[in-house]
This record gives sequence, structure tokens and C-alpha cells, in this order.
Amino acid sequence: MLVSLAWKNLTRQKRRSLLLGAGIGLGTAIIALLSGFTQTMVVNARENLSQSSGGHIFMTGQEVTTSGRHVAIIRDPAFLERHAIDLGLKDETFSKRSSAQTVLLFGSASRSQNAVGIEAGQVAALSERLVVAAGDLASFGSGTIVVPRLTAEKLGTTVGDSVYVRTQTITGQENVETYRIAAVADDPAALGAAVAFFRLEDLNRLIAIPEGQCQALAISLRDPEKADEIAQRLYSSLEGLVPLVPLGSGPSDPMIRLLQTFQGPALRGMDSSNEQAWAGNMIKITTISELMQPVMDIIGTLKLISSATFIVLLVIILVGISNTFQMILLERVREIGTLRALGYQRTEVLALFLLEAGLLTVAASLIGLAVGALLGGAMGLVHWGRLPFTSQIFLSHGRLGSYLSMKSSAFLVLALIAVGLAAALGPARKAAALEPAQALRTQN
Amino acid sequence: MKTLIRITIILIVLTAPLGMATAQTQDFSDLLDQIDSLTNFKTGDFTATLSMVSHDPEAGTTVRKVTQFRRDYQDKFLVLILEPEAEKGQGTLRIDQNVWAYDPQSRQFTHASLKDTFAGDTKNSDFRKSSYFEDYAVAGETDGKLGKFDCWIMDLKGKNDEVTYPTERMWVSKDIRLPLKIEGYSLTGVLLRTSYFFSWTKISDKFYPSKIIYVDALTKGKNTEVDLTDMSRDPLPDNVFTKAFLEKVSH
Repeated sequence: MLVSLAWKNLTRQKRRSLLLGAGIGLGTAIIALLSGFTQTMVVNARENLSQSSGGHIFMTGQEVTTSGRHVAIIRDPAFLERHAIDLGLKDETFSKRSSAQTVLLFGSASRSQNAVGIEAGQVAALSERLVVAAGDLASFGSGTIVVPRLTAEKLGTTVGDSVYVRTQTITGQENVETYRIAAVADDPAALGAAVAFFRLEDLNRLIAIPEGQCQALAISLRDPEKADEIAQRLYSSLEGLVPLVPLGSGPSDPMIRLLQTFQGPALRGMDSSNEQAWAGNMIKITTISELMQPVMDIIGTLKLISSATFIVLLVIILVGISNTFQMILLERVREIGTLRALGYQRTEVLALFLLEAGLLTVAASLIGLAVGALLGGAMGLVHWGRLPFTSQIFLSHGRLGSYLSMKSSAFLVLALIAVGLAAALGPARKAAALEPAQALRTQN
Repeated sequence: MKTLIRITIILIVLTAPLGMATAQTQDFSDLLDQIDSLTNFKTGDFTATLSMVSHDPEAGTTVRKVTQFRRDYQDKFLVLILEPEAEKGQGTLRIDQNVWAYDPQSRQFTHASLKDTFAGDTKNSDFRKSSYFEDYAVAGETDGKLGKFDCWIMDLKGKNDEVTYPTERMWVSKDIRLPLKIEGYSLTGVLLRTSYFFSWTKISDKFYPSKIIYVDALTKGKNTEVDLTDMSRDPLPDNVFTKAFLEKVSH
């Protein structure tokens, strides 16, 4: 009965209730959008990084040649894979990769091109991801390559053309082979990095990596949240078996670490002068979390803005509801006196006021959430075209929607309800403290 | 007696080709050593000004003025671009087995390699002392001609992975015992670059190519002509072969 009475009180002053509700709803929609954007950006960035890198945990290898040159290679990826499976990762997906900086030549045109070599088993996943402009990925086999659309345009090539691919081997020697273009396609997950795809055996041969070896071994996890934990287990179990780079080491600038991912998982011919010497094939284990660090730094700023906006909104709601219910108290003094005379207790009067505030806040915040979700969904339909790398990483297939999780939505609504109740508590207590006789004598 | 003489003659005739072949193989390996000796400055320094004209079907024609300093007995060199203004100050320095590329825009040195391109179709290794004997083995040889010049044509195979071209074919003038043409091939045997040495200049008791044309074999119409002038054997201060010097003269 109190609930229906509270609802009737709200609807009695429609204009005031609508205005206050609209204010709360608008604020809720803004917060929902902002929070939704940051959450979606994190999800997109993680997905993009794992797709372009080939997984959630990456193992790369280094060796020092007799001439002191560092070369990027994993001599025995099969051993690492077996070891990981023995650790309990038998249900995860393993994939080998190599990469190179190449120059594609066609006639008198040339173009620098990042190249990644993938195994036959990864072509199907690639097919789902690539946006094919010409050709057919079914014909992507040995002796063929898939080039980005921009590269094909700049070179003036099309499907079926043979191009020279010039690169340096892992020891820095010049090498050239011809490849036929099987397809022209863009990889949204490459985030503008424009990668050409080779079959792993072809690229390995081009950069003089022996059969069965590679430059990186990626593990795709069913539960990416466990990447750090699994990487730690892998590291601990490999200690003493192979030379290892300490976990978490690398360029101090996290953005450089991130960019290295898109230049390829390999380290190309680094001079040894700044490195400590070691014997054997040193393995480095990296996780998606490390790659996400610069992303999280950017998102951290957005979260700060979102949090500040949320606090400001709460303050505004607090003040707004408090002022409104002060006014309601003044307007309804006689009414309160009547209710008390009819037998309503102080607690019931208190509850009535709080219910009014609570119902208004719940309704407004739920509508605000719905509006925020609609707007976020609508924005997710917008395609942003070609953006710089640092922006592409947050998009999914060129789009950015705003999708707030159930947990965050519930937290938002509960926080608003709490603030609404807190704001109404003062006036509610004053209303509950009114003496019936005194209230009835008051002129409105 | 007559039988003995006949046997001796037969033996000489049969073994003569072997002896000649052995002598020729040694000669060709020695020839590489001779080329190194004729072109390397075992003592002292070398300075030259280079005019480089690069033709690129995509980028057009670029004219560069470059200065080169070399100290072969320490395997050091410095090459510095003086013109055009857009590239002025870019340079490559080799010291202590390291190669450094300098960018005057960022004022930063980055590790480079002898195999990297310096400018146009030239490689950093083109400015280093000759080390054919150390880096290459003769895999085959034949007589031939290059235009009207009688030449030995040698197929060279890299002995290590530090060489820019894993295999090369070299035309050496029988007259002056210096290269007239060198073809550089990739690991897969694809011709990458042809270098033509049109003239050699004698400086003191050494020779230096004064006109070279590097032709890119993969891109039609892409080549670089290099002319050397103002060659000098005057001694250079030690600080020329330092990062500090390169940084200073670049600005």
C-alpha cells in the first residue's frame, strides 16, 4: 500500500517528477555510455591483439651466431609444445609463426610490406577474419601470398600476378623469391598494420629458417584470463631446461612492446653490443596482458574521466533530489499531518518519502540505461574507416559500440538508488518528525 | 732409354693439366687476395667526395653529394651525405665491429648493418675496405670478355653469413687485375644488383674505382651512378671516426 501511495504521490506532480527523472536518466545514460565504451574498448583491444598475434601466450626465441649476431628463431618448437601439453594445456591451440620485413616488387613499383607466415591449420581462422577484396583464400597455398588491398593498389597488381618478394634472412643476407597473389584482403585485426600473409614454410625458406623451426609459438587459450597464470607455470617448468628471458622483461616503453607485436613476433638481427651473451636458444614468454599494458594506460585515463563524471553526476542527483524533497516536505506538511492523524506511524511516513525517492531513481536509471544501451548500439553501427593504429586497436571490424556488462549496470543502478535514498533521507526524517496537530495547523 | 723418355713425356702430358688446374685455382684465390691488396689502404687514411645520381622509376632522380672517410687498417669508415638538404647530415659510421646509422632529424644513432642500403642502390658494405679473400671462396672460373676487355669470370660463394650477397659473379680484367663488373645474387640465385666499375684511379700505390654504376636487377630503370673526386691520402684526426664527430658535422 505504501508503494502504491508513493507512486501516486510521484504521478501527482508529473512535471516535477518527469524533470527530475529526466535529469537522473540523462546522467545515467551518459555514465552508461562512457563506461560501456571503456569496457568495449578493453574487450576489442584484447581480441584484436590476440588475433593479430595468434594467441594469448607467445614464445619467441633468440640465438647468438658465431659472429655475435642475434637471430630470432625457435629451434625446437615441438619440444615447447610437448612441454606445454604435458603441463596440462592439451586442449589449447598452438600455432607457429614467422615474420619478416619484405619489399614487394612488381614492374617498376615497389612497396615495403610486413609479412607473416602462418601454418596451413590457421588459414581457416584467417578466412573468417579477413575482408577479401579479390581472389579466393581457398587458393592460398604454397607459392602464393595474400596481400593487403593498399599494397595491391600501390603496386598495380591483382590476383594471379607474380611479384618479387625481397627480404633479408635471419642472418641478414639478401634473398628474393617470386610468389603469386592468391587474394587481396585486409585484416581488421592487424589494426592498420597492413600485413601480407605467407604460408609458414614459404616464409621460413625465404628467411632461411630450417624446416620444423619457426620464430614464434603462440598459444590460444580457451580462458584468456588465465594467460598470466599459465605463463608463470610454463616459465617455472622450463627453468633449467632452456635459457629463458625473465618474465615481463623487454623494452621499457610498453608502446614499443606493443608495436613490436605488429612488426612481427620476431626480433630481427639485433646487434649483440647491448645484450648479455648466452648459449643456446633463449626463449621469451610474453602474454596478452603485457601487450595490453599500453592499452590499459590509455583506457585508464578514460576510466578516470568516466569516474569523475560519475561522481559529479551523483553529486548533482544528490543535490537535486534533496532540494526537490525539501520542497515536497514543505508542500505536504498538512498532508503528512493528515496521514499521522489517520494512524500512519513515523516509520511509515519515513518509508513513504524514501519509497518515492527510490521509485523515481529506479525508474529513471533503468530508462537511462536503456537509452544508453540504444545509443551505444546505434554507435556500434558506425564504421570509422581508416584510423591510425592507436585508434584501430579499440575497434572491432572498424566499429566501436558501447556495451555495459550486467554487473556494471547493476552497480550503476544500485549506486544511484543509494544516492537517491541518501538525498531523500533528510527531508524524510523531518517529515517523520512532524507532530500531527502542528502539521494540521500549518497553512500551505 | 727411349722407353723411359716416352714414359716421362706421357707422364708430363698427363699431369700437366692437373698442375695447370691446381695453379689456376690457386691463382684465382690469390687473385681475390690481390684485388684486396690493390684496393685496400694498409696504412694511412683515405678521403673522397662522391657524387651519386640515383634513378628510381617511382622516386625520380636524386642527386647526392657524399663525403667518405676510410681507415682500412682499423676497418673503420664514415660516409656522410652533404646534399641534398633533405638528407644532409645522414651518415653511416663503422667502428669497433659495429655499424651505426645517424639521423640528424632525431639526433639518434641506430644499429645498422653492412648489408643495409646507404643511399640509392649503394650498400654500406660498398664503402668498406675490400675483403673478398676473407669473405668469398672461388666456386668456379672461366675466361671471358666484357666488351673488348679480356676477363676472368669468377663465381664466388660467401664463406660466412656476413656477406651482403651470398653469391657473386665477378669479371676481373686480365690487364689490370681489378674488377670491371660484379653481379650480386640472392640466396636463391636471383640476380639482385650489378655493379659496373668503369674506371679505376691510382692513388699512391693503390687503386680506387672512380666511376661505378650500380644497377638494381629487380626494378627496371633503377640505378645509381657514383663518381669519385677529390681523393686524398692525407691523414685524418682520430676523432673523425667517432659518433661525436658525425653528430657534430651533421648539424
